[in-house]
Amino acid sequence: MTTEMQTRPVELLLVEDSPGDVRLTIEALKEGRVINNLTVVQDGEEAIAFLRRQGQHAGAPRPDLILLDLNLPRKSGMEVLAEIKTDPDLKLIPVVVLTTSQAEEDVLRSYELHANCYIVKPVDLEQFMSVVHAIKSFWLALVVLPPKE
Amino acid sequence: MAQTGPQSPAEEQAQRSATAEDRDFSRLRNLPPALREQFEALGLNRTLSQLIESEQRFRDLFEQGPVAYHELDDEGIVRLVNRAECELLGVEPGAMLGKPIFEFIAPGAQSESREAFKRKLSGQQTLAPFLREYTRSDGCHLTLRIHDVLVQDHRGVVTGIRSAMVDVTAHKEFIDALREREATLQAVCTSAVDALVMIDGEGRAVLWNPAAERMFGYTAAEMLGQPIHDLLAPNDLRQRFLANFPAFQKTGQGAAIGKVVELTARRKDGSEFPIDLSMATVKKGQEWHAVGVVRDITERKKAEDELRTKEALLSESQHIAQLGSWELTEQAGTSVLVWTPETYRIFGVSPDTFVLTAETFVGLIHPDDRAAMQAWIGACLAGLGPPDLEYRFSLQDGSVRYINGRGHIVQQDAEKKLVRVVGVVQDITKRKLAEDELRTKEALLSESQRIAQLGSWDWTVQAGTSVMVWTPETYRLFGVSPDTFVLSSETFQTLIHPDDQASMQAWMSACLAGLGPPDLEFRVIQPDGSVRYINGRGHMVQQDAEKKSMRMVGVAQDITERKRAEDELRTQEGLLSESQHIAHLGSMDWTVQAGTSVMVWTPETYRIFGVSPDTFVPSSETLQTLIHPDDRAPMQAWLSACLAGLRPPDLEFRVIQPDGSARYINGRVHIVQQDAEKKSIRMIGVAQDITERKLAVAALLQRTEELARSNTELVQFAYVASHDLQEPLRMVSSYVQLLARRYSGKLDSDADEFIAFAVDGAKRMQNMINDLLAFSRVTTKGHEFKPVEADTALKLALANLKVAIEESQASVTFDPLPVVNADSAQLTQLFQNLIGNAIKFRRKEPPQVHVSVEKRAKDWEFSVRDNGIGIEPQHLERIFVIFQRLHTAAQFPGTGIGLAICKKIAERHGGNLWVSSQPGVGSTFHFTIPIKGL
Repeated sequence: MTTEMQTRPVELLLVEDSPGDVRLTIEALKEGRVINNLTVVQDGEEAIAFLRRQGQHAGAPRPDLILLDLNLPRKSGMEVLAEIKTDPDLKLIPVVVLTTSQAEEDVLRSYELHANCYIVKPVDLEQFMSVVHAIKSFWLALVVLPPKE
Repeated sequence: MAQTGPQSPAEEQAQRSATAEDRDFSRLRNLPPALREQFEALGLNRTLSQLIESEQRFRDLFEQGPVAYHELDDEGIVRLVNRAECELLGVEPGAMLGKPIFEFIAPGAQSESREAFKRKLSGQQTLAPFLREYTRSDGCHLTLRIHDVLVQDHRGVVTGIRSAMVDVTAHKEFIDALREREATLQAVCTSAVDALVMIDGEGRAVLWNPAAERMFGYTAAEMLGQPIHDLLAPNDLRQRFLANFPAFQKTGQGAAIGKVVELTARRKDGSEFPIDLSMATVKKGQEWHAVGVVRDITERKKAEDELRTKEALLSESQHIAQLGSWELTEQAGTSVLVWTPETYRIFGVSPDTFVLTAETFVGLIHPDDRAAMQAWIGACLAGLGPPDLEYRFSLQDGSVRYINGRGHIVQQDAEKKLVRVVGVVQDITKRKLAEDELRTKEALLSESQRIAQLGSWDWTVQAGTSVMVWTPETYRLFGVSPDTFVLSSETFQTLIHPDDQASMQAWMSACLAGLGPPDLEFRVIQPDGSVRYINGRGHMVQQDAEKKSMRMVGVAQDITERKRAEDELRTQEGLLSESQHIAHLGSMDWTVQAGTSVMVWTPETYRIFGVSPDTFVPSSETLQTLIHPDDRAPMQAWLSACLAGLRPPDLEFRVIQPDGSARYINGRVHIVQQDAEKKSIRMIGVAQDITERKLAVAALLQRTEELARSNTELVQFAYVASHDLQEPLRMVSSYVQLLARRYSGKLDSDADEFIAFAVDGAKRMQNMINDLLAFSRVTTKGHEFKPVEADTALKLALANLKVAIEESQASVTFDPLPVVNADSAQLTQLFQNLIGNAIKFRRKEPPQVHVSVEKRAKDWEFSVRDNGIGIEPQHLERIFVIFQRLHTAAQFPGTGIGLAICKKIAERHGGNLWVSSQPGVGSTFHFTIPIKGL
C-alpha cells in the first residue's frame, strides 16, 4: 500500500489489436481513482518501437505497466513478451498478459517468458470490468512498482 | 722118443719105452776112460764133446721142442717121430712108427700125397715149406707148415725126407684174420664215403682213399707222398697247421687229435668247403703218424643252416602265433620240463632268470587253476591223453591271460617209467576276450532283436524237405513259444491273418522260384486276438541250379507301431495340408548339396504360386518366373542370402497368378542343417499369402492416417476455438452487455428483451465453446497414466463439489477404492461430473450418492449410484452424445457436455461408460478402467 498519493499519472501501455477490446478496457479503466495515461498500440512491432522509443515514438514515455494481448498480428504477444523481458532496459516493467486464451501452454509459456501475471479475459462484461479494476487495484495501487530511472 | 729100424712090434714097444738115457748119448758120455783118452789123443775130444753137445742139443730140441718132427724113408714110412708131432697130430706115440705118413697127414688123399712125396724124392718137386691142412681126430682143424729136407746117406743117395712141422694154425688164423682185416679195411677205405687220410711224421700222405680222391680231386698217385697241409688247407688255416705241426711231430698231441674239429678245406680246383676232421695218432717207430677221417660237411652245414633257419622260422612262427612248445620228460620219478623261447615269452618270464621245472611252472598259474593243471599233467604222464586244458595266469603287471595247453605222448616205455610228452601252449587271451565279446555281442544281438522287435528266420528247402528255424524274438513276434509250437513252413502260416495268407503263399512261392520278391507286409493274430503288423524280408543265400534246394535267411519285424505311426502321419499330413490350405500358408523343403538343388513343395505352396505339381517343377530358377518382375532382384538377393546361411529376414514379394492378378506373399526361411563350409544346406521355408492382410493393413494404415489427420484437425480446431472464435464472441457478448448496462431503462422494453436474448445467446455460445474445448482437451491434454488412488481422485472431486453438496444437503458415500492406472486429473473430472450430475438431477429428497467398485476379470467396474430422477430407457444412449439434453436449461442447467466428456475419459482409459436407470428411483452410472491399463 502506497503511503503517498500518486504524484504523477501512471503510464499504461495496452497492446491490443481488437478495437472492441480496447474500448472495453478504456471504459473499465475509467472507473476508479487511479489516474493513468493509457497508450494503445495495436501490434507487436509498434509495441516494441514504442517501448524502445523508436521512430514516431521517439519521445514516448516509459510505461509503468503493460497490458499485453497474445493474439496480435505480425509480431505475436509471446515475441513481444520475450523481447521485453530480455531487454535489460525493459525487463523491469511489469507485464500483465491479458488474453482470451485459456490454453495451458500459453499460460506456461508466458510465465516462462517472465510475464508478471496471466489473466484470461472474461466473456462476461461485468467480470471483465472486475478484472480490469482488480488489475488497477493490484498493480497500480497495491504493488510498489519499480522505480523509474 | 726116437725109435730106429724095422723091429718087431714088441721090440718097438720095448724101445719106445726106453728112456733117453739109454741112448747113445749117455753111452757117449759114459765112455771108458781109455776110449776117452784115445779120442783125446786124436784130438777128437772136442769134436766128440761138440758132437755129444750137438746131439744133446738136437735131442732136447727134438724131444722137448715145440717143433713136430718126423723122418720118413724113401717109401714114406715113418722111421722117426717126436712127441711134439704126436701131440700135434693127436696120434698116440708109437702109432705112427712104421706106418706110411700119408695115412696120418693126408688120410683122404694118400695117393696124391705119395706122388708128391715121390716127386720130392726125385727132385721133381721143390722142398719149399708148404702148408698143409690137417684135421685131428678130436676134430680140431690145424694148419701145419711143413719143412722138408732130403735125407742123404754118406754117398749122397736120398734115403728119405726129414720133415719139421710147425703148427701155424694160430699163425695162419692170425694171418688170415689179418688178411681179412686188411681186406675189410681196404673195403672200408675204398667204400668209405668219408675221406681217409694218413700222414707220416712229415705230414706227407701215406694213405689216400677213393673218397679222398673224390672229395679233394687229387688222385692217390698225385697225393701220396705229398705234404697234405700245403695242398688241402686254405691259406689262413695252413699257417696254423704249420705252426702246430712241429708240436705234433714231437708229442703226438694236437688240437684236432681225439676229437672232431670243424675246418675249411681246399679242393684241387681251389674251391673251399667245410669239413669235419677227426684224427687219431699212430706211433710208427719214432714218428707220430696221424690218420684222419675227413667228412665233407657242406651238405650237413647246409642242412644245419636250413635247420637253424627253420628253427628260427619255427620260433618266429611260434612267436607270431603266440604258440610255444614244451616238452615234459619224466623218468624214474624226476621230471624235466623244457620250453621254447616263445613259451617263456607267453608266460612273461625270461630263460635267464626263471628256473623252469614242473613245479615252478605250476606256480605261475592262477591259484584257482592249479589243481586242474596238476591233474592234467598227471593225466598226460599217465598216458590218458587228456583233452586241451584252458587255464589262466597273471602277468607281472597284474593282467590275466588265458592259455590253452595241449599235450601228446611221444614216448612211453613199457613199464611207464619213462614218459615223454610234448605239447603246445597258446595264449588265447585274445580269443577268449573275443569269445566273451562274441557272447556279449550275441546277447546284445538277441537283446537288440528283442528291443527292435526284429526276429530272424532261416529257411532251407532241400530234396523236398523244408526246414525253418527261428530266433527267440521271431517266436515272440508270432505270439508262440518254441516249447509248444512246432515250427514248419506250413504251421507258421496258420498264425497269419486269414486275409493275408494268400499273399504269404504267393510270396513264399516266389522265394522258392528264386524271384527274390520284395518285403511282404502281413498281419499276425496273436493268441490274445490282437492284430500285429509284421514286415517280412528275405535274402537268398544259396540256391542250386535246378532250384531244387535253396536257403534263405531273413528278418521279420513288428511294424505295428510304424504302421500306426504311418496312419497317424497320413492323417497329420492331411491335417497339415488342410491347415496350410486354410491359412494360405505353403511350405517348402529346400536342400542344396554338392551343387544340386532340390526343392519340395507342399500342395498349398503350388496353389499359392498358382501352379500345378503336375506341370511345374519347383526350383530356385523356376520360382523366379512366377514372381513379379520388380520383385525378382530382391528375391534373387534373398535366395542368395539363404544359401549363404545368412538367415535373412522375411521377404515380401508379389506373385503373378495365371489370371494376371498379383498376390502378396511373405516368405520366411529357417535353416535346418548347414555344414561347416556351407557347401550344403537344408532349409524349410514358408510362403504365406498375405494379400488380404496387406490390403487390410493398407486400409488400416489409411484409416489411421485419416484418424491422425482428423485428430490433428481436432487439435487445430480446439486451438482455433480457443483463440479465434473466442474473440468475436467476446465482442458480441461484452458490448451487448455494455449496451445493457449503459442503456437499460433508456430504451424500450423490447430493446431490453432483445438485449437480454442477445446476451444470453452469447453467453451460451461461450459456454458451448468452452465445453467443446474441454471435450477436445480430454484427448489433447490427457496425461500419462500412472497408478492413482481412486479415492484420492474422488475426494478431490467432492472438494470441488463442496458448495453443491452443501446446498443440496447431499450425502456422498463410497467404498474403499483401488489404485488404478489412470490420468488423475481426468479421473477426478469423471467423478466430479458423475457425482455433480447425481446431485443436479435430484428429486425432492436430498441426493444420496454412493460410489462402489467391483473387480472384474480384466478391469475395475466403478458404480455411481444416485436416487435422482432417473432416465427413461429410450434415452439411455442419447445422453452420452455431445450437447444432447433431456431437459431444458430452465429445468436443469448445463450444456449437455458432461456425460460426453465422461464417456470420452472412460474410453481414453480403455474402459467404457454406461448407465442403468429406473425413472423416478435413480440411476447408476458404471464405468470401467482396465486393471493393467492401456
